[in-house]
Amino acid sequence: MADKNTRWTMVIDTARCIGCQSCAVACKRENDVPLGVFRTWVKSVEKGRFPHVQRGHIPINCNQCEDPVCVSVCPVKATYQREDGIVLVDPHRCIGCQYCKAACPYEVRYLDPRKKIISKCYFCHHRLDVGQLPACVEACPTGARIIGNSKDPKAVVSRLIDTRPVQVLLPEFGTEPRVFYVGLDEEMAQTRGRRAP
Amino acid sequence: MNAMLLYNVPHEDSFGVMIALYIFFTGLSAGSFFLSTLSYGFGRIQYRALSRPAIIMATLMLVVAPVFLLIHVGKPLRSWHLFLFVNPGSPISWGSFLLTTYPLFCLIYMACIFQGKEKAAKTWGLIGIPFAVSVHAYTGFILAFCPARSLWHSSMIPLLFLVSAVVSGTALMILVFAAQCRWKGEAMDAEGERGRLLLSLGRILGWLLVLDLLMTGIDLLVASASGGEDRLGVGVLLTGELAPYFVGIEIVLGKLIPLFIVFHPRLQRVGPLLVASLLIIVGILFMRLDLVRVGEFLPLL
Repeated sequence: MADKNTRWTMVIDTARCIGCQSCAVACKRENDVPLGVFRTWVKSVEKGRFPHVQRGHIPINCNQCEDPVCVSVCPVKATYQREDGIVLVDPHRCIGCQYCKAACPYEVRYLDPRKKIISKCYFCHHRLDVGQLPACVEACPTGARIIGNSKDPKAVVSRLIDTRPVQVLLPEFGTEPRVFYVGLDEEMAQTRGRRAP
Repeated sequence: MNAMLLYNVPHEDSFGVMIALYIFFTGLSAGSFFLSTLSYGFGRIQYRALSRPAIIMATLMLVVAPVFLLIHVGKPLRSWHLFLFVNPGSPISWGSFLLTTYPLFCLIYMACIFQGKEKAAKTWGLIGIPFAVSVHAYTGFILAFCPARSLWHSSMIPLLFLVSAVVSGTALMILVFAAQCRWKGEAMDAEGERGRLLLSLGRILGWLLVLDLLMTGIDLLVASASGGEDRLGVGVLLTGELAPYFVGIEIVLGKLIPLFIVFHPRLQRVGPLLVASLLIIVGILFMRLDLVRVGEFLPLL
């Protein structure tokens, strides 16, 4: 499945997301993600002044960048890009130096607290390769996450990217993310998280 | 902005204290190496007495430094992967080779000095300099290659690291040389040979501090004029949570007070110089800590 006629791309419709975190739970179950770390989660932000307020949700996972910083800085080439664009980490090669985690502009990588190596969202490549949808996409009750092959003009993701106003997170770093958002609120996207205590 | 964060995943530091300490110790090593080559490599005979203690410290510090790396990485037993799977685009990959060749040059150079081979010491000292430069500048490139991190992504960082390496190395050698004199029971008054040597090192230290302060100032000034991450980072350093460490310890205690001491005409004695050197070493340690911490202080999402 990992051929060069495929480019796995995700489109997330933020207007559909209700912030239920089902994707985060499904991902944890599917990928056996340890306590305290996440491959995907939903960032929730409230904005405005009473009575004109709005709550927004931004699902976040690895952007599977076209030009990934993590791949270029890894000193042992443990993190690499498949032909279909998915960025993977070789668990047998990673030395856990965490350089990729420092260099990633999206903070979507984590050091596995048990294995002491870096891990992240792989778009559930083991499911995509056998024709299944990623766990988060399948679990989303509102269909906010859509995944497909953007090299196929007839795919739903291609149609959405072609016809709807789409944004990516932090485009200024030139990483060319392959996770597109429909209706992303810039103000909500820029509201910062907090440091680990 | 009227937006308030309700939920996000908190993030842990990637580099933290261990990498800052590693950078600090490689800096001490590279700085000591430069001082050691002053007499053999560049013919400054007046610094001959420094060459031996300096090269010993340079080698010793470089033995200490990689220990912090081994503590930091998740899988230290896989370190050999660094030599088998090389990524030419990664500064850590350059560093794994620099960290193995540079100590070899240190040892060869040290052997030449201790056997009194003048010519060979000059050759190996001069060959070692580009390695000493690279072994410290590459740590700057590690930080500079992280595009999203506040104040890391700057071409000033590798150069600033080099200058602060020489600053901390010189300060260390002043302390080590003074300790050596005390150990041997040799006089260190300002008129004596050793006192004059120490005070001349103090003046070199002063000018290096001026250069260090200038580069830090230029870096922060340009960063404060940029949008986004860098300006927020300057705020954290100057008025935010890291201000006591950056302004208080690094700039005032570690740079301005020592600068005053080494240039004040009535303080041209060995005692105040030793105090200044100690303050400088503490200041440079905090410079490493502040810079590594400020990049990771601001969450990116």
